[in-house]
Amino acid sequence: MTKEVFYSKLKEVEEEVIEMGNLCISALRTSTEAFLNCDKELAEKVIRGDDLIDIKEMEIEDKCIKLIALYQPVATDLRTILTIIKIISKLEKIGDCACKIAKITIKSKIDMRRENEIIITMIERLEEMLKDALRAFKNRDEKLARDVYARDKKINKLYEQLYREMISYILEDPRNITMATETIFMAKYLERSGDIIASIGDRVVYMITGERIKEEEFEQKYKVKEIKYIKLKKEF
Amino acid sequence: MGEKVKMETKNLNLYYGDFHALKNINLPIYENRITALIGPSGCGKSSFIRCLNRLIDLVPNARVEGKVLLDGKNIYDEDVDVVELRKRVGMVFQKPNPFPMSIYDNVAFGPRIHGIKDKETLDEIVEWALKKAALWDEVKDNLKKSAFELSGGQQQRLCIARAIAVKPEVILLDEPTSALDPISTQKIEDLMVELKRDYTVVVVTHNMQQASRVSDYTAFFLMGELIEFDKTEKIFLNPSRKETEDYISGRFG
Repeated sequence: MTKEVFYSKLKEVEEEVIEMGNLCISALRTSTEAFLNCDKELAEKVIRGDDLIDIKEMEIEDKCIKLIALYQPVATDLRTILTIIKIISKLEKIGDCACKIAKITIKSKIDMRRENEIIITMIERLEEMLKDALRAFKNRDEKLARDVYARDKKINKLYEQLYREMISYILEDPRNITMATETIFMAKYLERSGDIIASIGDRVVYMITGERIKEEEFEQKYKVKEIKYIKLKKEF
Repeated sequence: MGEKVKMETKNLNLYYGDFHALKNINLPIYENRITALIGPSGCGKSSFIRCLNRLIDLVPNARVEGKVLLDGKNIYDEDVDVVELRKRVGMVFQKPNPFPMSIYDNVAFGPRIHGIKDKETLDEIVEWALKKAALWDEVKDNLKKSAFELSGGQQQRLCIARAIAVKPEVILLDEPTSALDPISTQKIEDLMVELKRDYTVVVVTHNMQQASRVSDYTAFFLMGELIEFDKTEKIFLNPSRKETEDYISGRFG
């Protein structure tokens, strides 16, 4: 009976995580739109909306702490709650990235931008990535979570491409400097969001299997069976 | 796992008449470690612990097959002296069961049976055992008092003192805190951790948190079978078997 209560409460919390994730998707999408359309009003909306994300994070965290204190979960249940605590702090950071993009728009003196295909592709991919990360979390889909993690490389490539493009604009005509640097800064926050979403994928894998992708990568990188801080410290 | 094996069961089977109570149990018990046995009621963990000091011999129609090795020697061999075995492998039960005598005599009971008569030596053993069991300070001025005047938690610590007074090598605890309040429970748990420095401890418990708090290794039994045995942290963080996960998460049992 008490176990049923625990699982129904955990399920509620999981749904709230999805809800928070959707807020972040929308914040990222809206801030990008505001940037591309030089829409300061829309950017202001993103900043106001960030409070909602922060409040949701606190609420979910409180609920997780209560679940741990009252039900002493172990094994998968414990890993799930710890994963939720990690995921919400990552989502909150995505919200911050959206805010930073919105602030660039608000401070900018540019009132029209040319269309930027790369940024549009980036935001579309990020949106998909975050949706899939949340789906992998909800459905306990390890394969999808690993896929989300791997997709970050593509976002990084897009950012590099955009960076090169902007540099060539600057070289072409110094009057492009403001536009180009703003775009680079903005895209950096998108790229950063990609890193964060990838790490959500990593946490989902941990939740399901108890193993981390990052750990596997370190083991390959340092060619050891089990990665240990103390062993590695000697190498530095 | 780089640990020294103190006891080990090899293909241990136990039958109560026709009922197959333990099925092919192969379990190592490591020296100076606490091994917790968990599982739902009737899974065989108490039967198992009773095989480790041949207390099972006292159950009519119980039949044991396979080996239980203590330092490599099968305790079911014919040349094994059961009294001597139970001195080496002591036991404490679920309900405190002090003898109807004074605190002092309870602790001195075992050593006396094993031939120690000298008053001074007995005094030393009683003080040592009561100190080890974290009871000395509470009873040192009332050693002549009847053991029944102690609280439940004190009685249980007295039983532990009585068990260690004969200086066993292995201590078997069968749900030692299930009849105790949280404070007494904590004292017994602290004591278990203290005891593992000198002894090998095996504890049967229904309390998952107790198993995860105190033990180094955990064995999960289900319907007479050993489902999983591993380091406690592995069992409670990421068990290999679904049955274990379901049980420790409270999904059944």
